[in-house]
Formats: sequence, structure tokens, C-alpha cells
Amino acid sequence: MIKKIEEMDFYELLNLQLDPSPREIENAYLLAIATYHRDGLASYGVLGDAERGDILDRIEEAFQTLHDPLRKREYDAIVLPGRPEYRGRAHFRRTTSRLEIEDAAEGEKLWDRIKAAVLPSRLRQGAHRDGEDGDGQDKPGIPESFFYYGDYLRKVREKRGLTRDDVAARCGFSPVKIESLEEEKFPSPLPEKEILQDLRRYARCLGLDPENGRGSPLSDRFDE
Amino acid sequence: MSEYSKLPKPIWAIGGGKGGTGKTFLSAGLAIALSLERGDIVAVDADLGGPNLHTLLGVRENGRDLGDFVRNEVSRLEDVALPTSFAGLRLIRGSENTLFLANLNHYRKLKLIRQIKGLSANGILIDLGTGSAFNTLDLFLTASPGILVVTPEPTAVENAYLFLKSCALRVLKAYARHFGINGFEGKADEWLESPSATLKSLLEIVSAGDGSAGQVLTAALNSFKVRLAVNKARDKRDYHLGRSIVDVVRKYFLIDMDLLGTIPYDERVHWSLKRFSPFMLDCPESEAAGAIRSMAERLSRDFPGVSAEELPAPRI
Repeated sequence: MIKKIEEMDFYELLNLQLDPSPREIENAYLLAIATYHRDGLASYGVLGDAERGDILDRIEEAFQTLHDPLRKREYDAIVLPGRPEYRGRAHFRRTTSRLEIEDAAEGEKLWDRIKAAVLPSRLRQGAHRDGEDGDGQDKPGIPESFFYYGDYLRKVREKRGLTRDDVAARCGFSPVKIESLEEEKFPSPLPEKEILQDLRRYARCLGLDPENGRGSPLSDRFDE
Repeated sequence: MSEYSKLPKPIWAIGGGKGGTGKTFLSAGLAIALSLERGDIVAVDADLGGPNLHTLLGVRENGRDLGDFVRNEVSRLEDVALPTSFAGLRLIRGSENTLFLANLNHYRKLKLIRQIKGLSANGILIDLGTGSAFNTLDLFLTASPGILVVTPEPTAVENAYLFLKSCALRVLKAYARHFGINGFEGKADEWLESPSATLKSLLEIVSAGDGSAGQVLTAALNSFKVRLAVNKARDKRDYHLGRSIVDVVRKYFLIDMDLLGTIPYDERVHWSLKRFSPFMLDCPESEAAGAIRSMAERLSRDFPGVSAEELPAPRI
């Protein structure tokens, strides 16, 4: 099915594959500008001034977004998980603007924070074991500004315009459960495996694939 | 009968609004290349106004032609297919003498289309004439896919878009009649008056009035598949033209177009024609001949089922 221009994302607009190199983005931009320029042969006799202006504006916006690594990363986080060809790939590693967390210090990485959220007791034990001076004091707690996995799921859900009730129906959870997963607050202690399974299920319902890809946050590291 | 006979039979039609873009040149080249690629190809010269595919294929002898079939002197189209000097390629010559061929009536046109579809071959290639007459459009729409030929000139591009619009309107009107979408023909005629009317804008007008009608017609338009060949490319900009046209067509005509390829300009095409010698035979090592062979391979791949290793050997 041919998409309408209004429904195309920036990659489709510029006829780019996913993960284009900066050179490919630039070449696609130049070709698009040449195509829709007033003197472009390919659009000769096809477009009125208003339509030509609209498409050139969109092309410019697409280029400015994809050409800038930071803006591209933010854009990818919103758009790419919805692309069918992107399913089965490691969304978490490639599309979120939170990838810098992988460069964080030990104990502050994404997985540590997930464990902190769902397994606070284990983290505390680790902190005791790893304490430098062995004085029995806990390491500092997780800062409030830290990015939690549940928070990420909430943001993905909101970006896709879904309510908690929508995803609850889709996942077969109650809305309260969805809220618990997003807030990472559970009314009663739950087995860690069960929480992990629920997080996985919720991620899949949002079209994410928590299992796939190297270093996937919900697979190989959980039992480390 | 080869193994291809059991497979869906490809029908390719080569058209485009403007004269002189190289439709017949490409038809002759593809016919030869496809006959080597697949074997048992029938080339039909359906340039009902001025046929000359036989000249580009180096066929000088007169014989039965399309006129004999249309005049009912021969009952089966198959019987006017003549052998050529190329293994696996037969030619149905266009008639040079029958003026009424340019204005085939409805009954004769349907009979011609039916018999073209019924030809026993591994592939059928139809060379169409200039312009956007209904007979030409209907033969183009018979194919799967139609191949639009354009040269890097504003007039050729303009006429190619007009040809595409005319084909698309023919499809849309047929669907509108079938699905009982009232008032579409009036809207379409009104829309055609606009100098830069795109099919996208037409469908937006239809959808604004009736959303479901808009959906049906958009799906109909998407089902119309066209491949683009750019001929006589001389510089880098010409080589980019194909991708640009495909982009415009997909975005503003909502037609599923793919780029088949770009053929470089080659002065020797003219020399070959003067010698009554097929270009593919004269200059097989030229870039232009290579581009045509690549196109033939791509077209052949669209009809899978037999791998390249299993292809039947050309009949010599």
C-alpha cells in the first residue's frame, strides 16, 4: 500500500532505509531537493506552488532531524518501534535517548536501576558486599532522576497515544497492574521472576522486543 | 512446451505518452534479451498508428500481421506470429496498411486483448504507440506490469505523467462503476481541468465527500503497478531522474511505480537503425545493451518459479 505523504515518517519521505549513514542521509536530502525544486524536471507540471512549498519544508525538517545525531535519536525512539521491519531488533539499545546510561558508572547502569526497582533487597546485599570500607553502610540510594524501566514503558505508551486501560486490555493485565509496572511500586512483595515476566509481557504489548539484540536489558543480565 | 508454460504468463507492455522516447527501441532490445533469458517470447507490435518494431528487430520479410487478425482473415492471433532470426523470439507485426487499426472498435479490442492473453509463450511483450488513446491505455493496462518510457526532457516527462494519469483514471472509473460510486466521473473530469492536478488531490476530493469511496479508489490506484525506464541518459542528473520520477509518482499519484533502469544515450543506436540491424546484435558490449539486459533480468525475476539454472535453453 502506497502511503500518503502526511503518513510518511522522515525515512520514508527521503526514501531511506533504517540506520542510514550520514552520507546516505545527505545524498537522499540532495536528491529530494533536486526532485522538488522549482526547476526539477521530475516534478515539472505536477505540483502547484503550495504543494511544492509543503514538501520542501518537510524535506528540510526531515534532514535537520536525521542529520543531527541527538535529534535523530529522539525521533527514532518515537517512530522506529512502530515500523514493522524494526520488530525483532534491539529497540532499547538503538532507539532510546537513554543509551548514555550504558556508559554510566557501575551501580548506576540501566540494569542496576531495574534491579534496584524490582529487587531492592538484592541491591542492598550487593552494596554490603561491595562496600569499600566494609563499615556496613549502604551505598547511596538510586537518585530520583534515574531512568527506570517502567518509566520507559510509560513513555513509550504515552508516545503511542495509549491509555493504561488500552494496554491493560491488550496485555490481559488490570490497569492497576500496569500502573504498578510503570511506577515500579508493588502493593505486596512479588517474586522477582513474576515481575520480570510481567515487564516482558508489557514491553511486547507495546511492540517492543525486550529479548532481542545483544545486551538486551531483560534477558542475559537478569540472572547475573 | 517448456516448464514456463505451467507458470503465470508475464505480459509486459511498453508505453509512454511522447513519440521518440525509444519505446520501440526498448521493446526490440527487451524482446531479444528476454528471449535469451526465458525463451519463447512473443513480441506484439501494437503501435496501431505506425508500427516499426519489425524494422528494429531486423525483420524485412512481409508476412501475416495484426491487420489480418483484426480483419478476421486469420482466426487465431497465434497464427500471425512469425519467427525471427533470434532463437525463442516470435513477432506479431503491426499492420502498415490498415488505417482502421488506429481506431479499433470495442469488440475487436476485447478480442485482441483476449487472444494476446491466450498466446502460448513464456512471455509476451507489447510495443505500444504514442499518445493516450483508449486503445493504447487498455493494452497498457492489460500488462503486468506496464513499462513507462521517458527521456530526460520536459516534454517527455509531461507526457509521461499525462499518460499515467489517463491510465489511472481509466482504472479508477472502472472501479467506481463496479462499486457504484456515484458522481466520480464528474469529479474526475472537473479535476482534470486543473493544470497541476495530481491523483492525490483527486482522491482527497473524493474522500472528503465519501470516505469509503476514497478508500476503495486509493486501493484501486495502489493495485496499478508500473515500472519506469529512462532512456537516452547523458549526464549524472539524467541518471538521477528515474529515482526522482518514481518518488513523485508514489507521493503524488499514489501509484506503485518502481525504477526498472536507465539506458545511457548511445549514438550507435542510430547507426544500427540505418543498417537495419538490431542494436543488441550490433553492440552487445555497449552500456546501453547491458542496461537493457539488466532490465530483462529484473523483469524475468518478477515471475519466479524457475531459477536461472533451470531456464530452458534458447531454441536455435
